[in-house]
Amino acid sequence: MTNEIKPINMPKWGMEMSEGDINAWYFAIGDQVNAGDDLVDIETSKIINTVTASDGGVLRAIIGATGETHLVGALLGVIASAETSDAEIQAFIDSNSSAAAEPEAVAEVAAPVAAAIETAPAPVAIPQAANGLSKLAEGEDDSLVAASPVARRLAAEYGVNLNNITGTGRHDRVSKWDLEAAVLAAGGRLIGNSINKSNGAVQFGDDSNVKATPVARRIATQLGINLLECRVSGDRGRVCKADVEAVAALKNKMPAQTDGSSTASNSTFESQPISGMRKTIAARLQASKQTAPHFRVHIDAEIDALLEVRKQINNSNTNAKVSVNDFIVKACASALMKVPAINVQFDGEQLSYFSNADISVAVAIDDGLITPIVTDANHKGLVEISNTTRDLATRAKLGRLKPEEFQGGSFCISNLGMYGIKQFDAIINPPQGAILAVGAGEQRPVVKDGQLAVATVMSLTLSSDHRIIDGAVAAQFMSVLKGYLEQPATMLG
Amino acid sequence: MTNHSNNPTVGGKTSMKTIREAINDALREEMRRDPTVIVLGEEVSGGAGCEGEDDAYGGVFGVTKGLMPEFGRERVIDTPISEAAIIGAAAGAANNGLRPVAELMFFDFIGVSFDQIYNQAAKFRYMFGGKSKTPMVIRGTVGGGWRAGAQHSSMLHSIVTHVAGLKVVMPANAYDAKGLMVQAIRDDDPVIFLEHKVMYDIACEVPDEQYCIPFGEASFPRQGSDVTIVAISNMVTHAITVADILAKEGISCDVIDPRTVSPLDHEAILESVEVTGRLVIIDEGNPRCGLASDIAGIVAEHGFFSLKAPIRTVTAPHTPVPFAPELEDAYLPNADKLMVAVREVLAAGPSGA
Repeated sequence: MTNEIKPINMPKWGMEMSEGDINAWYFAIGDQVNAGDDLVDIETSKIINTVTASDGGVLRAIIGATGETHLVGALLGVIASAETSDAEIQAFIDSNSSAAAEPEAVAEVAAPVAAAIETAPAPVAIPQAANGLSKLAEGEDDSLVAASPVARRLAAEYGVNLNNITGTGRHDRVSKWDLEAAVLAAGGRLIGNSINKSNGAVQFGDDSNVKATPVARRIATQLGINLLECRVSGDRGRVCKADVEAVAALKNKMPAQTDGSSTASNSTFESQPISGMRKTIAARLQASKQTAPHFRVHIDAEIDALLEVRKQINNSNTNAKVSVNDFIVKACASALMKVPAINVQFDGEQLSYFSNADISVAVAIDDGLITPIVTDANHKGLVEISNTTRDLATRAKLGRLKPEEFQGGSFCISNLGMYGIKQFDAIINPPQGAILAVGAGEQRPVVKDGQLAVATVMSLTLSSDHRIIDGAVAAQFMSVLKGYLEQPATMLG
Repeated sequence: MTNHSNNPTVGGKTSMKTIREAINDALREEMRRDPTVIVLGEEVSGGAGCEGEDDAYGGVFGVTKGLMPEFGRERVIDTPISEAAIIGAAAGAANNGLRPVAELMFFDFIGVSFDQIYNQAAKFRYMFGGKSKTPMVIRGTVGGGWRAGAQHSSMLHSIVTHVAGLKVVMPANAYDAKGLMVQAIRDDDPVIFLEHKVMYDIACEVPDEQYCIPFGEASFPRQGSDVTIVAISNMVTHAITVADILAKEGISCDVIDPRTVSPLDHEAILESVEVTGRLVIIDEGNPRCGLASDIAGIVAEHGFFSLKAPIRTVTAPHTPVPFAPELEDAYLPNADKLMVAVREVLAAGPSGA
């Protein structure tokens, strides 16, 4: 063991990971830790995984407390020898926290955990509650103080008297940067600045990249509203004036924290931070619905023959527990080989047609869903597909999937049949080109050769991205799929 | 007319004055105040000594009219048609204690006097360790739109801006013209004072008393937060036009007039771009190695992370100024061209318009 101080940092698991939630620490401060021990569970937008200790020593500090969200690379804890002094530990923490803070601003990563807007403090025109800042407001008429026009304008917005600022700009006038330095030194917050570490209230990230109309942006600045709080209802996916005003109205309607004289409704609500997974689901599906023009084709398949084959397989092999969904995965894989135009990813510019069917299967888990991938499903037999799917689903529910097991895929299946859902539409899982929504197999009256009969029928709906998949192609795929499901033996061909 | 928000407050009486009158005012008052101030150039008075013809011109644009009758031919000197002689004489006089204001009728003629400017006057103070100074002002007219042809319409500010040791001043209104001319005369370095020939008759309220406008401090004729427009000289007029039209649409423009291109108030530009994230530069000069590309380069280097959209420049094309009126109009940057660029910049970038 060395006397070195070792950091525990937020890991980066996969390209898309920008932050993680601290789920649980396995050790308390003061505990002896050995290299290889499980240290802390981190939840990302998709998985829960464990950080193990790379070095042994005493866990001297925990910076990332359970329940908090931290950016990739952020210092979560410190391991050092018992002999290392507290001052050294503190110095190490200080130097590492500031180092980690720098890239945050540049990289414009997602916001730190955002509590629901309902818990936000009542809006103020400009956030400047700090006492130091009110001191900056005092002073005589500052109209003759030499200041750049931009600095003077911002001083008015911050409510700062320019007499209190030392000018270091051109000809010793007060520059924008002089003003901002003074505001920060007084404990104030920069307008439009993203990262605020001192304020424990709701924090949203830098909203400068949020698409918004100029009017909406200006009003949001005036009202102290972050554009990330706003709904997006304007043209071309922009936050518009009405969206900002809606947030403002909501905030104004909130019961004040200090006086109980609220006349609002008696119904209560529980505020919860939004989970990383929920944020990812929200962002991806919103983007999909906004950018991909969805169209649906719908077909019914009779699956009595399929159910018979399934029974044969499961009876003949005690280890097999093939489900109807496994048949659908297999049938889709075969159909994708027949109609490869559906087996596609599209990133907005480039089309990628895949030679194998990597089929994502939507799995509902606590507070979300995940789509683990049955890779090469066209080369797998039904039992293999069944076992693979079951293993993936089990581990998905435990949060133990590896990133490569749920990132990618060339096609997606969402099956709500087990809930008795007859038929539904699914949203495409980008960058895939299509998704199949599977309803319940149920006995329905059907007409065969002019005679009424009873068959087990399943409704299937394919949502396709019309930018890359045309109606006839989607129809052809569904027709082929129906054929495989109704005559499962043909899949062997 | 102009929001002089960062100008020192000047008390007392003001009058409506054109740029021509404002410069004349500044010259006259400085000549009254300081006997070392002299004026020289081709027909800065005129009349060639003929009886009854004295002061017939007062310069080809009438800017120095009335100075000779008050100060005499010793201080208001009509020169031969030799720019080399005018600038050489002025530089020598400046080295020997006078404060000459030399006029190049058209700044296009700088070519024949360029050695005296860039290799002599601009370098004296530097080469002689501050023991010598060259407090001269070179006035000249620049710019197109006057139907004067390729040899009398150039916008050559970038050539002199490039020369270390020169200060380059380009007023866009009468208020600035007077304050900057006073500063130019009192300044101990050679100052190039460029007057746009189509702007002489544009008037605004100008204080009667003398005042200085320090070099290197931009003015903001319009203030806003959506896009920054940098303009100089006659281009300020177009920038204000565009800003006022966009203001009616709820789009606010920060219009920056640097007033002096050397020294340049890059701080004001960078500050503004930090707020707006969008920058359009309009300049009447040719596009290559010009003021527009210079400012674009400064912002790209020092303000890159503030930008939400690519910088756009609006300049003349890389040709001499055409003589045919239709072609000259098509050649010059104007409000329409600027509007197109500003709208493109507003529409570009991650957060849309």
